[in-house]
Amino acid sequence: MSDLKEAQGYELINIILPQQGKAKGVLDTLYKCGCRSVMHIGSRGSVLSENSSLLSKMFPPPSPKQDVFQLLVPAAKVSEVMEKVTAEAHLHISGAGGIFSTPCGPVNLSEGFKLWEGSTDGQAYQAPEQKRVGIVCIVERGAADPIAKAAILAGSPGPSVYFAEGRGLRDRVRLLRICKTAEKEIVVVVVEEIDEDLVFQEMSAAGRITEPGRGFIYTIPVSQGLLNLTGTDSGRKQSASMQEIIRAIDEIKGGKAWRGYNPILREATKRSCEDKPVLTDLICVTCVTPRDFNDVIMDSMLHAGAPAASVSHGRIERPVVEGEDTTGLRLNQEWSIAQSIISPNLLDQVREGIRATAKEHTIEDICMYTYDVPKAQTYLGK
Amino acid sequence: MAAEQKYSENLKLGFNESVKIFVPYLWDKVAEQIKCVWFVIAYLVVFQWLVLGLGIVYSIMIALGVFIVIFGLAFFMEGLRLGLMPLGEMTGSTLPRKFPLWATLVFSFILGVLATFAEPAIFVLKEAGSGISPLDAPLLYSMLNEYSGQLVNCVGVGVGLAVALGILRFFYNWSLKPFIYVGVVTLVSLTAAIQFIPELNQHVAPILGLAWDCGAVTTGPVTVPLVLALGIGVCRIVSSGDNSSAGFGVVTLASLFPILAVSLLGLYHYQAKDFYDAEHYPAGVPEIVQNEVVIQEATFQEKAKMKIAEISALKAAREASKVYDYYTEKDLEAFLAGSLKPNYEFNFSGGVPQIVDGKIVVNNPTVTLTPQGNTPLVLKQEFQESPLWHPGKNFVEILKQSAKDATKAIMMLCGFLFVVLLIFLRQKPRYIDELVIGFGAAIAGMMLFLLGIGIGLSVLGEEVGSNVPALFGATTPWGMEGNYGPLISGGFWGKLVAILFGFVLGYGATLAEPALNALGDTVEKITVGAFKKNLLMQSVATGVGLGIGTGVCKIAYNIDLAYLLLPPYLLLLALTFISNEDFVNFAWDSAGVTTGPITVPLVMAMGLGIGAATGVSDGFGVLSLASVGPIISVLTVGLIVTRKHKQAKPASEETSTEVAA
Repeated sequence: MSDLKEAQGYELINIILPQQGKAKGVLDTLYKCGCRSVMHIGSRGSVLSENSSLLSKMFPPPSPKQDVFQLLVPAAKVSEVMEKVTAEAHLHISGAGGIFSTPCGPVNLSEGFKLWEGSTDGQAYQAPEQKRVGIVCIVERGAADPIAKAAILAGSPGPSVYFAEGRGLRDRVRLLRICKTAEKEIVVVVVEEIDEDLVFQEMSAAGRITEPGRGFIYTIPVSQGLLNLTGTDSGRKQSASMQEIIRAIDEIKGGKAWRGYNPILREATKRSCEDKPVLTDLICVTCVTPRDFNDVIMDSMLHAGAPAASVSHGRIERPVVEGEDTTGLRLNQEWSIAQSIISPNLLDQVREGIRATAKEHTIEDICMYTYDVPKAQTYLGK
Repeated sequence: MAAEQKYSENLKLGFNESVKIFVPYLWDKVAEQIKCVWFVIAYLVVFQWLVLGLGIVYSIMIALGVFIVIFGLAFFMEGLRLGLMPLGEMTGSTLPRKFPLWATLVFSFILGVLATFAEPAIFVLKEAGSGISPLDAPLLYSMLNEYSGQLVNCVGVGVGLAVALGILRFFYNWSLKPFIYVGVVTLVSLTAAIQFIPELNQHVAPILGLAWDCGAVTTGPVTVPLVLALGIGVCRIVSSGDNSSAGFGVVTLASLFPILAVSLLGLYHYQAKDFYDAEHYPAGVPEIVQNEVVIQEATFQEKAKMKIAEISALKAAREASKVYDYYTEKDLEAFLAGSLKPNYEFNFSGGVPQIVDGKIVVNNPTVTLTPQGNTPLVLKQEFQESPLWHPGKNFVEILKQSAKDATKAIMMLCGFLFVVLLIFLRQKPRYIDELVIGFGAAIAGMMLFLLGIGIGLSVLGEEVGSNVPALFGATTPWGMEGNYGPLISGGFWGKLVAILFGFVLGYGATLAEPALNALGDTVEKITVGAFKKNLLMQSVATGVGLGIGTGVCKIAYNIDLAYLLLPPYLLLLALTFISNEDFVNFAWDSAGVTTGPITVPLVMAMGLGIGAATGVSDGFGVLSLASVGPIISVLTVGLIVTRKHKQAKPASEETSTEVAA
């Protein structure tokens, strides 16, 4: 019934690059691997300053700007793509950036949406020794910094923050909606599995997520990843940043146990959110469309029962086709990534809703995919 | 999960719940503005009380005005957020897709011209020129009187061209730097030519202050956010690079072009010789007019008489207080050698006034220099009880005027954009009601804001500003009677305190400027929060402070503007060259933004007050110095933080062992 074809076995790769002129090289590498569509959004890194003088409070140093690339890659090709990108952008160097992949459910594509060209054969990856987990937190704009700081203090690499617009409850309160901004900030961080609980709780507590109207925090599975994002900004006198020193000790000690969050101390400062229930086994539905169609797509998501949805705007990077005129003026098409986290029993309804909308508005370029959300936390009512 | 209702249904909120949502929201917005405004107000009040030792006249009126300003700002900023900025961005992002390039440029041009007419700021300049005598600066006088219509048109065309060029720049992704080089080099050489070619210097030089201030003043609190949002919208569609300063740069051009336009207009009239007292002056025979004016303004003789009266009062007071201080033979030697210290009263009498070549020349006057005592001579008269309300300020009248100005400024610009968006572009915004609330809030905010400034902030500024000269000379305190001062003997230290006062006043007033707040928000938004608003605001405020301090210096010591403007602009060329594109955009744009409705009246009042005390006829030039300051400070801060950044990220080639699995 649907004109969206379904494909299985894709993984979502996120690449986070500080803006140091590497974006073009990475894109070329991706195109060479066979990738045909890369979502590109701007974000900022979060850096803790180690010197906190009055002057640096009056003139807070700017956070590093980053590019975030999101692309869907056949599962068998993930290792290859990640290796090539790592080599191209020197991601193994401290502070050079990050890359991680998330296994996805079925992907729905319109005819016009080219994801991948070329072979999809390759070695499926082996489960790594060290498992990682992504933690994502959506809060109102301006509230991200304390959360990012909490994450860094709890041992995560530097979080990335990007902007989004939220839809949901705000649209239903008539004119009073002007009291709340629709603008959201999304904090993304990838941590090792042993750190997951701590970072999750610290972020949740810092953002007071379990209070009404604050936001939403959830985890996403990560199959492989390499994160080298700076989280601290040391003074210029030191030859190594605190982050680098801690990492070196991690290596010598063979783990992070030495960092020793004192369990007794933790008990004393137990956060309120730890008692709060978490939601488990949700699903994140993502829909990528040109920005013009964003409103109808989000409407359809919400009509199908999704409690809320958020959207980030960006560009889509595609390899230049031979013969296409690229000189002179070029108008961008803006793209939107709409996301909603729903319970699995709503999934079919939401998907059908999006399909119907795509058909009704004859959207030619659309891509929809899902991935698991093992754990989430928000205000759940009294 | 909680939301089981259908999405399309509106939530029914009871009255209590609505209040619970609305009240904290309102309080947040008001608190935000209090944070912006408290400093400058507290500073002015404390200065008047503690440093000058005077009470505040019209205190009730000022308190009410300040209260209104805070609410006005809160409403206006919400109006920007809900109405103006989304409208600008929406129009900007739709226009290039539905219309060809030339239509977009025509649209931008019209918007720029409208913005100039809509914003009342340009008329502030006429006030600055109110003390100008046609004999001292005939060309300047003519431009502000007979040719003021031409002046406004010229500035309008300048701004229109600037906006169009700025938008064109986005289409081709040009760097802002070459525009700055060309613009600044042209302006600097033009200014230098006018200043240093003797023939031009005599007539055209006085308009330099006007020209440079026009550049600073044109971009006001409605234009800036609208133009920024428009630029961002256009950039969303056309720019392809990783340009995180997208949408910026238009304001810079809109500040540079009017300077050029006004200078050229001045040169044109100079060349056509149709200004006051020149060959082709249309307003009749110069001599008669001149005589009339001499009688009307009675500049020279009456001023002299007033000075004499003032000094005889001082003398009488000195006699009464039995403080005698005379010059000795030694002082005469020092005077002849040119090294007499400047703390004396200047007084002349007698002589034969004649008209020579259109100037009044006094032959053989007696010039008397009387030393001021080393002990400060403070004359305190019994002031009558301070009135609480200015008799000349009619609340209803000012309210009407500000309502008119606000409606004109916002309706003209937003109406134009709205019509273009709905009729030509056929783009329907998702929430029209939100936009309409936004416009309403913006108009109400602007109205309250102008009203509050009219009866509160600018009165307070004028009061304190015109009392500042009491630090180094005798003045009549504002709104009171009698002589007062000098508080600090020896002109230098008093003037130094006045300069410091200017610095802090500039700093505080800038933090309260709505357009700068909007610019800060936009910078934060465009860089995905990487540049904090605070970084920009603090750097800009410091820069404005420095600029205004320099401006006070200019007036207090009567230094030619060109000597103070040219070196900083040359320095700026170098700074611009070595800074990165983002900071260049932010820095130059913030320069145009700083001189808004709060800073201008405060600074003008102080400039005119100090000017009157030191015998400088006009208060021009302070504003242009106030806009060059922030460019320097933002670029410097930019260089410092980016340098830190580079060093914080050493590209150590040591490989980490954490490898992708």
